[in-house]
Amino acid sequence: MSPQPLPPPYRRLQVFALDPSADVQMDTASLSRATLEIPWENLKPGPVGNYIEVIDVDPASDCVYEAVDLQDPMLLARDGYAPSTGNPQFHQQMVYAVAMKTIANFEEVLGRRIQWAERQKDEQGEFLPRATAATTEVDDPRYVQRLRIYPHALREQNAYYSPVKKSLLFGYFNATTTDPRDELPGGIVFTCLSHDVVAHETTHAILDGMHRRLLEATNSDTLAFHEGFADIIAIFQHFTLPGLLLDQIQKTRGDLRTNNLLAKLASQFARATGQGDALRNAIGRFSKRGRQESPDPTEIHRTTEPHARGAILVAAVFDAFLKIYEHRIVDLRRIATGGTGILPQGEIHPDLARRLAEEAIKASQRVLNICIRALDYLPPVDVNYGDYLRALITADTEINPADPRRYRLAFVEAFRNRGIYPMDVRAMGEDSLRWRSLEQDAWKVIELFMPPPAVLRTMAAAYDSDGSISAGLTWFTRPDQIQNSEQLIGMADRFLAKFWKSAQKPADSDSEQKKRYRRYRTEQEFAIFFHTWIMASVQLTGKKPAAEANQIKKVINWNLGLNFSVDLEVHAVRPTIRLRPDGRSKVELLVLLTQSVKRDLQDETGKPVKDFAGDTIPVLFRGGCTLLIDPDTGRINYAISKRLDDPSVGGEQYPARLKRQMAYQRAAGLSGTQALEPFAFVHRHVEETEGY
Amino acid sequence: MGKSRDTSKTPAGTGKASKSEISGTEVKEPAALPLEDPVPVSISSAKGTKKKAGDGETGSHAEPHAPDRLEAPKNGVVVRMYRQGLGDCFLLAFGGPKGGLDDTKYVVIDCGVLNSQKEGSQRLAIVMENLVAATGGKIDVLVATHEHADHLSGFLMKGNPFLEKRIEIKYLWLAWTERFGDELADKLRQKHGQAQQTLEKAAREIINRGNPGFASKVRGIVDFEQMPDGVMSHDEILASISDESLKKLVSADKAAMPVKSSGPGVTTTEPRPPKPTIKLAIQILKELAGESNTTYCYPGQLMELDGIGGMRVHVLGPPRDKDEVLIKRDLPSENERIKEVYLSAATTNTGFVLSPALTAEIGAGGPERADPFRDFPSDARSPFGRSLQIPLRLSAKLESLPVQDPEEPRYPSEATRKLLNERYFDARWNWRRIDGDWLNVAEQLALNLDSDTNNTSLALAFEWGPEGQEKVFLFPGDAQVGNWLSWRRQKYGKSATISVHDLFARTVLYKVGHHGSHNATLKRDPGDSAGAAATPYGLELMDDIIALIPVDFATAEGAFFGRGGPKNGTAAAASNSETKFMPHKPLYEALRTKAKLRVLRSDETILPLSVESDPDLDLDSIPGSHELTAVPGLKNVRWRRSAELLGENHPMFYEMHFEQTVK
Repeated sequence: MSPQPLPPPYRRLQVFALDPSADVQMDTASLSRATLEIPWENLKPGPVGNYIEVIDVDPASDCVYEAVDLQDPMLLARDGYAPSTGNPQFHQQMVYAVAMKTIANFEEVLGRRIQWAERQKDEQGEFLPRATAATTEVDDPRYVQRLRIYPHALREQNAYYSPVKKSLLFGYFNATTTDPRDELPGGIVFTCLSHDVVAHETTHAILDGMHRRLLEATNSDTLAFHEGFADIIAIFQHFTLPGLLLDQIQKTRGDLRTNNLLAKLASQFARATGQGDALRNAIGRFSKRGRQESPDPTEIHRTTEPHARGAILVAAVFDAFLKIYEHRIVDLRRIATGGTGILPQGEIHPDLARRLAEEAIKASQRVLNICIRALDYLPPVDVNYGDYLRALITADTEINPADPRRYRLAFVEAFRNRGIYPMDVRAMGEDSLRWRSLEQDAWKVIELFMPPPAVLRTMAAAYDSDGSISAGLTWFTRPDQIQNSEQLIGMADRFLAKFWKSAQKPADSDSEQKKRYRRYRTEQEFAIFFHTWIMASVQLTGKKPAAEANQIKKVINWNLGLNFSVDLEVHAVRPTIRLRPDGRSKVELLVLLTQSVKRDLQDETGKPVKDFAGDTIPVLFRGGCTLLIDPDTGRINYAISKRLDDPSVGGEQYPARLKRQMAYQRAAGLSGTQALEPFAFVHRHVEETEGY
Repeated sequence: MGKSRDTSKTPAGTGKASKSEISGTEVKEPAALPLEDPVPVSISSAKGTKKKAGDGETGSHAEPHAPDRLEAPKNGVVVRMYRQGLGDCFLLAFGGPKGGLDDTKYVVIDCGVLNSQKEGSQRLAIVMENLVAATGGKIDVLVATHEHADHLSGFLMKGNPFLEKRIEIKYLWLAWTERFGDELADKLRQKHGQAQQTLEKAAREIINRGNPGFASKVRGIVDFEQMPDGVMSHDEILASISDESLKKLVSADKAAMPVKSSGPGVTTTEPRPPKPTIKLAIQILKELAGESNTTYCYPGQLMELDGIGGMRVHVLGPPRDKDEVLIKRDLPSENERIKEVYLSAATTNTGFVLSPALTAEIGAGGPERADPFRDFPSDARSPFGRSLQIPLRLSAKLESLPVQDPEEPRYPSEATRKLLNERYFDARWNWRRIDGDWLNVAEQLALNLDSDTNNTSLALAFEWGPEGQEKVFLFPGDAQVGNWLSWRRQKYGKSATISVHDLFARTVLYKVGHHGSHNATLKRDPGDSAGAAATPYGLELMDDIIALIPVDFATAEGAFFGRGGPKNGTAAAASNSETKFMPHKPLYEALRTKAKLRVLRSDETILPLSVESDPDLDLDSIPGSHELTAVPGLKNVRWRRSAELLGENHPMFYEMHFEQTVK
């Protein structure tokens, strides 16, 4: 009997590199197809894997399509179906491949498994019950095992991530162009065959899983950030497509500020709908001679539509990339040109092109890495572009503390040139932009509210350990029953005992799917612990003399943004892992805490706004903080907060941030209601801002 | 510029139009001015006749002298806003230099009410009788702005004085889009018809899929095309008229009604009363006025009322710029997207989007007259070849798979069936199903269609007194953004020197577009692609006006959201709920500012705004008495409310009297 072979590390699958339009043009045909390497998993027909299920029903055409079986040896042996617009099984294969590639990119950078956003409410809007001890991944009402992908869900020029259905819906449509040079007039265009559209929508889903409050439009940047970030991921994935980068370096002679495929998003879509050669272009606008125009720092104030505003963020990040790339190749250009730095006419030497491509890849990796990692340094609610800039700088400082060539300045400059800057910093220097660490005095107070280091260490370690799922919260005590700090410590002891001593040993045969679910449940349990701990500590504080209690409240409110009189939501307790410069890995515990209060919508003069029925309009005002905790010492490295002002210690009912939020929501015509499908790839409605 | 417009308004091949163009109305050259009308003051002869119409009024005793006829002051203007609900009907009376009834000319703008307006038809019937009495049965100019029921339904209602010929229409003014034989107008008409049929099929399909709420919402958007109850069926109209040529029109319209699909495979169709199309209203009006008395108005054209030298009417829209009207999307650079006014590529594409899936009938073999894409090869309607498609119904649970016949539709493989049954059809996953999501686009189609028709509105500016000096009454119909913006493109007046900005600045009375919706009153000129900056426009340029909103808030709310109010709307409605209100609140507030609270509406006299709950808020300023009183803040203008009522405490109309101020 021959030994059982180990599963391969990758599954190779063929895809259209960008979209089918490149496949029918001579000059791009050679790089229009690519073979992606996807982390191996056993797939059922669909494909249905650990993260994704592709369901190919097409109600608009009143039909379904056969599901592809990628385990079929005939397909395994030839990297799946060859790219084809007329083969629905290839479409299923491509959405699977591109979505998985996107997921893999995130997991690689974050050092942890991603989770989809949980399903909180049913179709009637009622909250779903939480998991019980007996719940498994199959019948947990809230757990979303797999993101669902419908490659042919809509007959329109659209594709979106549906937060309600936890699904990606892709549309197909007939090209409306009348110019056959763009697309076959009337020919069918599939959004699911565009790498960019698939990567963009998948990113929405991943981001929603990481930060669920980012869906809420509380300022003009929140939805735009979602859009811009999704575009950033789609564009930087271009750099990983084999062959494309080298080809584009050749064609642009190393000058990536000229119009090139790397920076173009959704070409076919744009051409087919008569919108030029890219739906969005990361380089921004072009002069008549085809080079990048210098950015207009006032544009951001005039742009409100989320996609258009998102494009500004994309341009800023891409500009930072270009600056870094250009800095890295200055010496190469000098070497290649005998010191002048001015390239001669004609094609550049293939060796030079290869070297430039290498530098471009390095630069793109650093930028992509930071862009994703910065997500862990965002406040949990009401995010704006300035916050993201600060998160980028902080994340980069943590990974590359030295930064000898000052690449961080590339980000600062690129953002500043587009009018993006945080509201709450004193200067645009690197130091000021980095999130501040907690002060020693404050920490002395906050320490009382943090679980002991042993618990935090356990959390950081147990998250990824397969054995850690508890059956029934054996350590749990209701916060209002905790009368003194001894009881609190007792709870921590039971928690530790539970996770160290009585953890179940996992069966080797457990599927990857089961392991992911266990991770989800473990995180929930951590969240319950955090919630209990903090709420119990709050209660104990209440027993102190009023003056002292108020002082504590003030410090907490000032540093963590939390309001003691409001309940707390714990959104995440997960480790972030990164390599330190000395090569060892560093683990931090990421904790997201949020709170909310209801206020009445006011006009700019502070008078309540009424609807037609004469009722006041409620506004949900959220606050909270992102904590990055060093599990070794238990200390908080960063507390990135949006304050929920506490009127009982001198805060205002309607602080400035809420006033800004209300101004935005009044202007946007939002009255607290949330769009059910906020992520249409293009908006169905053309905004007509000339009216009222 | 004026010259070039001249050629456009008289297309070659319609030589017979000369009389109407001169006497009816439109005059460019002073030489053409002479009043060729044989009986220039013939209105007086109508005085005292056909008085029985007054019976329809309720409680007219409050008027001391109760003159049924409306008399305009010498060189003055009276504007009467009828308040039948959500729908337009305005009577304008212009006084000549001699004064008195003999020297008063009547212009009526629209006569309709929305399908869903409560008691709309009954109210409108009373209003129409008042029209007969007030005008003595003779209207000098009837303006029909666009093909929506809330503007035209009156002309098809039971017992309406127009069909019964108790009102004579001397001249009829229509937008150029109503002209047959005009290439552009024909094209628009054809496209609109196609889109309409697609939409109706979509609505039926949505009902078939068990979502009547959404279907009624989609239909609610095109409610403006649905006929109210009081409108007669074809047969009733035929029975009520004797005129042969009218009968021919009605019969033709009846014959053109879509055949009810009732073949096998068609589950249900909601029974809809076979009401005539709104187009019939226009046809009937043309017949009543006579083609030679019908003027098709082109932007930039100057119209005059014979006998009233001081009154000129500028045609602002609908626009006729080919670049904008034609579907032309191949130009835009990366920074610019052409904004179409009418049926855009998106709309027509949407038509395609919907049509293939709505072709159960095609499968059943019936000829598909409604299908706009019938010329497409049938295979191109589907994303994949027929052999790759497995009918949805065959992939649901089956006890055992039948033997596959190569001629028959395909059945799914065992693996696919398992996948779908476990993950799609299983009730546990209902929350993730997408059966109806693709139909959401129907809502967009409905909205587009509605806007397109609104944009064909004949938009008029009545200027009265010396040219370029006096006050302007702005009646934009239901023109939306594209129509409004096009007004910038031409200059107005005899010498073609007046800009629309000037007209805005001199506006004293503004009939609020589209019942106060969010995108039918402009505040901003967005600038152009050449880099011109955005500038204030429309309402922002007006000052010290009286605003008239023919709206019924509750009706508008019901039309857009169905019975359940905004909460039952779809995603788009939820996200945009504020923009769907009529009147749209931000606009309403802007109007209150611009009009210094002189905002007159057709619904409740006391605002259902936050007035009760906010004592600080000023009430709208409205006429308080049956007698003419001074309008607060305006000189030489007086107003009153009618003694006649359309319901408890609901005056039939508001009336404003303007005296000429510049001599």
